Amino acid sequence: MGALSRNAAAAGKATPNSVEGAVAAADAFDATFVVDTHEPVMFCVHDAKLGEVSILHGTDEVVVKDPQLVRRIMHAASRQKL
Amino acid sequence: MSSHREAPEISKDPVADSTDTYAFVSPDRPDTVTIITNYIPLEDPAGGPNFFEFGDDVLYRINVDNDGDGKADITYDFNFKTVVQNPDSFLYNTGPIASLDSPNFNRRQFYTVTEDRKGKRTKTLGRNLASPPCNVGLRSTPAYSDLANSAIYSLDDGIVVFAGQRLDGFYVDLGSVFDLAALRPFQNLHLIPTPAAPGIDALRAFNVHTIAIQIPISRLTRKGKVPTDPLGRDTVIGVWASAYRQKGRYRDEHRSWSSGPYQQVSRLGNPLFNEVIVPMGRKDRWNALPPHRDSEFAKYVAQPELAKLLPILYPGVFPNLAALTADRADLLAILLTGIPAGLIPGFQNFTGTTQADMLRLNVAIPPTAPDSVNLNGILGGDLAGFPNGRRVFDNIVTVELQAVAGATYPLVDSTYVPDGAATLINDGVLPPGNVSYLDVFPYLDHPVSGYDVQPLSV
Repeated sequence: MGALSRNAAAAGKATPNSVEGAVAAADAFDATFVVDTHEPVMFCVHDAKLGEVSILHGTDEVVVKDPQLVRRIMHAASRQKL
Repeated sequence: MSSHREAPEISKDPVADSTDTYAFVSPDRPDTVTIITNYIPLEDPAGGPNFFEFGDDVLYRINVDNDGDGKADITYDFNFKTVVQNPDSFLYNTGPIASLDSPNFNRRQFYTVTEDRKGKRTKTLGRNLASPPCNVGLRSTPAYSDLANSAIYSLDDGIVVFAGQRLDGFYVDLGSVFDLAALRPFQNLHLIPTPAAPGIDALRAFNVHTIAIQIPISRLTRKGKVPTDPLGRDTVIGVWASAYRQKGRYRDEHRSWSSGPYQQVSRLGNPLFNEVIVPMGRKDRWNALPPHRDSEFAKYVAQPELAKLLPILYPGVFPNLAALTADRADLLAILLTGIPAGLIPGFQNFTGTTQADMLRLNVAIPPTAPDSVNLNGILGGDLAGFPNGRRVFDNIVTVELQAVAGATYPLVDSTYVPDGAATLINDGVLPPGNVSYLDVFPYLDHPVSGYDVQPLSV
């Protein structure tokens, strides 16, 4: 219904469901994938062991399974000090 | 209270905290249903200079289920946007606000309302609709009723909407009820006794923010008809309100933004469900779930904690209730499935076996004439009242207290004899007192102004 169903549909279509899918998506990255560079993109790693990162953009959420990306994020996080 | 501050998380987020939801056949337009949902509990009318308002970052939704599966078939979404005329002033208003477009009205809210019907494209019913200002006082908001009434919009297809501040129509002796379930008229019988006393309406001087919509019945029923036989098919609609925030929120000293899909943070069907039935550790989860998932909370309805407490807190007053150990099939029906035909002559609001907390309104039952209204609704023989939907003035505290105390159990077990007190207990608060209502849309009365509010002495 409304925004909620649109979100779900969008998230469903955009969600790579495998490491290969995520890598393929990453390899294919170009300007056509950027929906709106003026809007912020947020991400959340709920559980690093799962190798998944949840990406929030606009009213969409894309869950990407990419253990390497998660490792890089965790590594970067461990180096950042407030 | 009905659902004011009823769960730990949402009590910290008042603009998304639904306090009451109402659904009833409109008394002055009986071919329509009015649905009202309130937000922002316990608005102190004098709470300036930043008076109360809806959340620009909250999605407010009214849900209608017309096939009994506990899932929305029709939704009405309300999205708000705040516009500040003069950001260099600290004032809410820079002079008297005589109209919604007054240049003195510094901080304004506008909203869009959309309708989603399952399988159809979203329809925008209204855009840039103005909310009236809060009722500040006689100098800032003179002729408040005229001002607020100018914010009632008649849209296409016979739909009418209003969104703005109202006097809270709920009435309850909060101070007593939450003091170990004391009921002042009966507190001489309490485990910790004090002399019996009249009840005190704790909400008598508080406002809320109301979203109200009036919709032709034919737009809400499953087959688009206006049923006239209460015992016929497709006569019952389920109604609940929900509020959402986006999943992500970021803040720094320069900016703040939200991102991601909307996550439900609040919902409300039957009054007091989450507040009194659902235990503390599960209230936040309940607020995040849709009604069709409510079977996981059915055990709390079947064995309500309050029914076990009453015989302890009022020794010797509820012996039959104390001995009642069976699951409360009466409460399960009232709150989660609706009351099937055959239990109450001429009435049913059964929606099927799906357990879902919704207000269930049988739209074939016409409104009761004002001089015949019984505030106790069906318990008082008035089939147009709660739990057949909910009217703004229904005496929810009394009805639910008496139901939990066993007054409705004979509906499902004719051998059960309720305790004498079960049909008598109440919190001693009744309208008209300090609460009042309107005869016409949006039915909840104009808010009390900050200037006019009286001290809380008794």
